[in-house]
Amino acid sequence: MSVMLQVEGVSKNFGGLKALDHCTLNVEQGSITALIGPNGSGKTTLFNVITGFLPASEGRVLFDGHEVTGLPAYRIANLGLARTFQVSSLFPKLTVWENMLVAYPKQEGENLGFVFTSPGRIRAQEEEQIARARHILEQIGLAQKLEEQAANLGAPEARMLEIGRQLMFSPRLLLMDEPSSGVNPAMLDRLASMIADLNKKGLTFFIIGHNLSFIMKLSHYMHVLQYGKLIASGPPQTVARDERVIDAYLGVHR
Amino acid sequence: MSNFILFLAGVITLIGIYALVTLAVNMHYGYAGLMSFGVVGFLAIGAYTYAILTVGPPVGEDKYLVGFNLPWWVAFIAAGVVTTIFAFIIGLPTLRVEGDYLLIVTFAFAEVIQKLLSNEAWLTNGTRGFINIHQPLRDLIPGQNYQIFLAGMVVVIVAICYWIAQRVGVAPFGRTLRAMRDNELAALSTGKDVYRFKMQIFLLGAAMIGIAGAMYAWYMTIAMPSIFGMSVSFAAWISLVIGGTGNNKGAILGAIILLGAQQAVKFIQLTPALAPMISAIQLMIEGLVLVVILRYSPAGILPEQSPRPPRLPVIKVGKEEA
Amino acid sequence: MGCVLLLATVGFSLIRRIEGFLNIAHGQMLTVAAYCSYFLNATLGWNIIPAALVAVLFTAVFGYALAYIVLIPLKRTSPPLLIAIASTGASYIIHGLIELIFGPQVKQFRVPAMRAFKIGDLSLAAPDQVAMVVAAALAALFLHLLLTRTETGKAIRAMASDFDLARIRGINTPRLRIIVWLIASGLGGLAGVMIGLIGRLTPDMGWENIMLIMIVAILGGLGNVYGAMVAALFIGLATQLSVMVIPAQYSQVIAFVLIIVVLLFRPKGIFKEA
Repeated sequence: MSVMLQVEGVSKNFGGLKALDHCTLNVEQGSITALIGPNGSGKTTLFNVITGFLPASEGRVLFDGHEVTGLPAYRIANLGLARTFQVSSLFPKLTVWENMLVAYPKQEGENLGFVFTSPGRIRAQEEEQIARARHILEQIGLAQKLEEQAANLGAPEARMLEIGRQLMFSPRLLLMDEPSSGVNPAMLDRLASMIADLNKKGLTFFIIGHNLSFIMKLSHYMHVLQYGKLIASGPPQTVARDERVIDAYLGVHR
Repeated sequence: MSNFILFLAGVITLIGIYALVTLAVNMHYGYAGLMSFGVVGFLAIGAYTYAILTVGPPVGEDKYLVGFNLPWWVAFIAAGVVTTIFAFIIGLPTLRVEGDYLLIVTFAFAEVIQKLLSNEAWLTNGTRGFINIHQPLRDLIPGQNYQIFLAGMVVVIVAICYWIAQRVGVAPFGRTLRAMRDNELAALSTGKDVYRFKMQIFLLGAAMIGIAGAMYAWYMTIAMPSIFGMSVSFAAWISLVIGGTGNNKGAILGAIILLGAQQAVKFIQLTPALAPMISAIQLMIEGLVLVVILRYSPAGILPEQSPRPPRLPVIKVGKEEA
Repeated sequence: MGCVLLLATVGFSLIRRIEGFLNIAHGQMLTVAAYCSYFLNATLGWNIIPAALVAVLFTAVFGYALAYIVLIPLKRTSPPLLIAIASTGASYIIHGLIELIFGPQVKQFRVPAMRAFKIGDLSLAAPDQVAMVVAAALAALFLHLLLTRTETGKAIRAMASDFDLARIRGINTPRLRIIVWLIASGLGGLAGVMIGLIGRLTPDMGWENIMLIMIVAILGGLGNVYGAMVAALFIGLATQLSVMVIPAQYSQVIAFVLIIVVLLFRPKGIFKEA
């Protein structure tokens, strides 16, 4: 199995604060890899650096062998590296179907010129994509709400829509920032099985998790961050028994 | 009776011009969330470009150096082009950063343009400005009917621009713009080159304002720095807020309402002593209206409902599946 | 002139920092204070100094009232950019009121004329101008001390960096917000009075200066109070100097060009957005 994502020696400084300290980790293709650590350990910062929302102070990031360090966020996304945000990744004033359709790649209709010169082609593409979107929406249970404004969705539905949108985007690697937050326990199982399903179909996941039981059941491999440093990596069972990890979490709770 | 029709034609022309500007502002803000307060700057550039290019060689007290004396349609197109160039220069640094910067810079831009126009007499004839600006096809259409013709022309042009704005809004381009406006980070992570989108809509809107500027020159037949003050930008914004942000029909509606009210005020001519007060009061009331509307009905009259999403794909697919 | 800008901009920056929007009506604080002083000074015959003090206090309260009656309620329903537009509306209202009450003609304070200090043949500055610089410096110093030494000041700075965190930590945010508005408006008012002292009063004062204020605020980094101070002095100096080289009307153009250039290279202004 090849490595989908390589993070090499990435550091990030904010003024005097070292948010990330020479992190080096890999995400295997086809896996569900987790990133855990106590609050403030730099998990989201790492995601931001990987996805191009923050420049790294040091180090490199390689996605499927290509160097993506320093590329603008949208370029990285277009290479197949998608992410969700801890706060909503949705577009509140757009309807559900619009949220979905924003996400498909290579939209002809986004070219201002084509809007006027090839309306037919655009319409064809749109129709194709909306069929696809409906299909996905049915799978995630949102088919009825096609024309509902995204802002009106309840929290679990919103999370589902986020996933639906990522599916439209069809990335190769999906970084999820605390997908379990705000989801009630009943939905958690559904969420977990969705992720597992998608993973079987070939989507690699890299997930920041705070809900440890959720994330441990789901993931194949884990990385643990504390104070911006990687302190442990390995399969969930091993990591859970690692002293340093226990210390890190308990230390915080003390 | 014909006097009234002439008056009406004039009002319609003015409304058309403002409507176009408001439409552009809607494209900037309603679609893309860009707030530019320099609307009047672009208008001035459009008007002056047209004037400079169509005016004849300097006469008498005129201080300007060159008169190009080009045909009206060349100048008309040029008005749009030159404005777009300016918009590009402004947009280059400001569209990359937070919206506040754009607001301040465009605000400053408008003021600076006004100053420049007053001072660069070699180009713009200073505070005197240009008079007797050449109107399109004036020679062909006799006397008073011209007013009606002009109104008609303006309406046609505005209609075309409205059509353009609608098409842009309905297309995936417009959708992505709104997405960008709602959640820029999410848009970026969906692979959208946000900067490019912003720039394109900014330029498009600016071009429309430039054209509106040329039409303004047609209507007023004069171009002086003093008419391009901040209150014009403000008027466009009020129109949009009243009519409904995000809705092109709303933009036009707002312009109609605002200008209608302004014109109506003209009829309330009280004693001459109050005349200078009127403009101050008018602005005051407009400010008040704006604040009140924002407070109680921020979306304006017509709902944000950005041009209604095409139902076509949905229905078609539905029919097929049924 | 730089000092005046400084006073005016610091307030503007603070508001931007704490409230998150650009308060264009801030420009009108200058006008309000100036005219209030005028009223007390020229019409009622007070001596200029107490008139100015009262005016500044009045403006502080006025700004606060404006904020709480008009602007802050808007925060619930409108995005910050729209609130900025609303503040423009408010500016028009204030401007209109002042013009109605006082008339559009230029006015002046009733102050004894003072002659400039002279060194040899060079006239440096009149005592009143020196007094102003001193006053501005004192105000800046006072502000600095307030922000760094007192509890209130530190609390304000905490609020500035992270509103919610400050609130959680038990800092009395509502009360502090009021204080911030009072200070900001008061400073703006002080600037207005000074402008009145240097020259003349017109109802357009607020509008004329708001652009410079905003430019200075950007250069200093939006919301960065100290940056604003430095930027203000810098711009003030630059415009005064450039007057010797370029015709005076261009001072604003210079500021504008400066800003475009700066933004091209350092999108967040010369200083960080703190």
